[in-house]
Amino acid sequence: MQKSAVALGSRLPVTKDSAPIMQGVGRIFAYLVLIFLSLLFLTPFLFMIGTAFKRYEDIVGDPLNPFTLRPTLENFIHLFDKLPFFAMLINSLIIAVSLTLLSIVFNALVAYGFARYEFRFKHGLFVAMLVTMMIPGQITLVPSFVMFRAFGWLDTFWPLILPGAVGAFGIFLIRQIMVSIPKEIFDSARIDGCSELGTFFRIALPLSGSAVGIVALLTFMGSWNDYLGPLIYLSSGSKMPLAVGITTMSNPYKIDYASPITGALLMSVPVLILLSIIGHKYFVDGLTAGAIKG
Amino acid sequence: MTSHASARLKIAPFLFISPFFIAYAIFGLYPILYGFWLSLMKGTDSYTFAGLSNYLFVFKDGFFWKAMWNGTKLALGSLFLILPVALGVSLLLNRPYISKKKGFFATFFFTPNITSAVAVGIIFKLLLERDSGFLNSILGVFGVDPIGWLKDPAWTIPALIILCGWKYLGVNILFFLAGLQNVPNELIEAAKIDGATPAQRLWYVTMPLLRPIMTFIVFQCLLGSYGMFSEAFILANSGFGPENSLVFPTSYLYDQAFRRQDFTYSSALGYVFTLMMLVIGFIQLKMFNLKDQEG
Repeated sequence: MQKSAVALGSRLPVTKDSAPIMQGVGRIFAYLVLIFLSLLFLTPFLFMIGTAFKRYEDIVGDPLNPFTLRPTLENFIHLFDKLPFFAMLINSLIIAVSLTLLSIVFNALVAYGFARYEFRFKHGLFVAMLVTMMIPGQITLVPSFVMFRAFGWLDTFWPLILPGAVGAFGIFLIRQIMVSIPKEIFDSARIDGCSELGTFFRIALPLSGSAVGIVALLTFMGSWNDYLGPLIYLSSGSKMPLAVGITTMSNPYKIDYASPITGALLMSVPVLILLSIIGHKYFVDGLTAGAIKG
Repeated sequence: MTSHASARLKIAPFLFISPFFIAYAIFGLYPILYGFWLSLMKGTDSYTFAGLSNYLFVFKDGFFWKAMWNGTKLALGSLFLILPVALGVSLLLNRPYISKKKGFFATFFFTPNITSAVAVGIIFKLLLERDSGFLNSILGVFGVDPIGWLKDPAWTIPALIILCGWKYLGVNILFFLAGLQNVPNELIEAAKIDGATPAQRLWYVTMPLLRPIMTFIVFQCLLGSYGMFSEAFILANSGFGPENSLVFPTSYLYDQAFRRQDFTYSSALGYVFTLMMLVIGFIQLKMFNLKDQEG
């Protein structure tokens, strides 16, 4: 017993001496790796911002430098000249905002139904709902198109809005929060004369703010960035959202690097800045919550 | 009065949950069934019954299998290149002395994930340009000859993996970090005291505890790789790339349906693809569960 204590004592100073140095080296190394990786991650963004202000000669002539010393606005002028940019922006906003509003209401309504009540087949229906998340969208791609064509909805925004308005992932996230609201709150609201729907709008929805925020942000970004949907369903140029619109910039006479990049910059950077201010944490929390529980 | 109220309470939950089931019946279930019916037909304007001939053709269709093979290459690249880096970075971020800045780095690496696939495709087309792209210019500094990332069929998938590494590393770091919350520090400390090397601690303590999240991450990774569309489509200028080296099941399906107007055959493609995804998902879940029982 005493011997081991001595042995321990004699070993401790050694580790105490060498540990801080080793730890320090390890820490510096860790930070170097992270800083290097961050620079690597920043590069495409820097090029997106910088290239939009570059002349053709500078893009081709100075590929290592994302920024130019003689910035120009000609790419922006060219873009606004060639594309109905603001019409496309409005289209993107109409689709994304209406889808987001619908998805908040409908996902929360269903989540409330599953969180608040006990009813027959509840578990089975909930599992059936979750199973729909496993089915890839490719299976409905063509038949949905044929169906929407029969509805007369081609070249309208409906196929881009309605199918996404309610889905298992959003319901699941909001339900997770709603089950944690104490039942007594709902009961007292009912006793005070609130209707079922009133309880939902006045109590459940406001109290699930964080989950609703996550669902709203994910829905908005999914719609804003959606490429395949508008590509399939929209045909007239006046209805195109930005995601497809900016790809129609290609110039047949000269390789044009700058115009698509300028479009990409205008489409993504304002939204990214806005979201990193209001909702980056929502994304992170929401995705990880889905990952742990799903 | 009471019976009336309780009857209303019985029906209320079904009213609340009905939007999902009604919407899924219209936008999910009906197209799935209708797609199966379509896949048994042939013709463009009017359909005639063709039995399983579309399915037989899918199995003989080298182009479809080329697309699946490209999906497999992307999946292997993601599994063995992107995921290990994501794990490494998340282990680094999980160090106690970084914990305060963990959130900052994690959200920073995550930003590309919410950047539009179209924008990402456009940027990488420029960065991967053969003669005046950033990547070749950097490699040129080290004496590497220019690589035709988007022109040479041998390099298009590596180029796509680079793009996906940038776009999807962050979200996988977040998933791993979430999983690492389930690894108690005391367990690591105990293993340290018992004399386990860092590699042993990772393999015998951390990894088994990460298995649930790994199941999810690998599943997402496989589904995402085989389901690749937008990024590859943009890199390939709305086509299949040099020697069809950037064709993926979804882009082939898109081409068959909306450029060649062959709705019956593309419905069969959608069905075969979906069934294969379910089988792959099932095998993967079984594999991870079996490992669970062994460990």
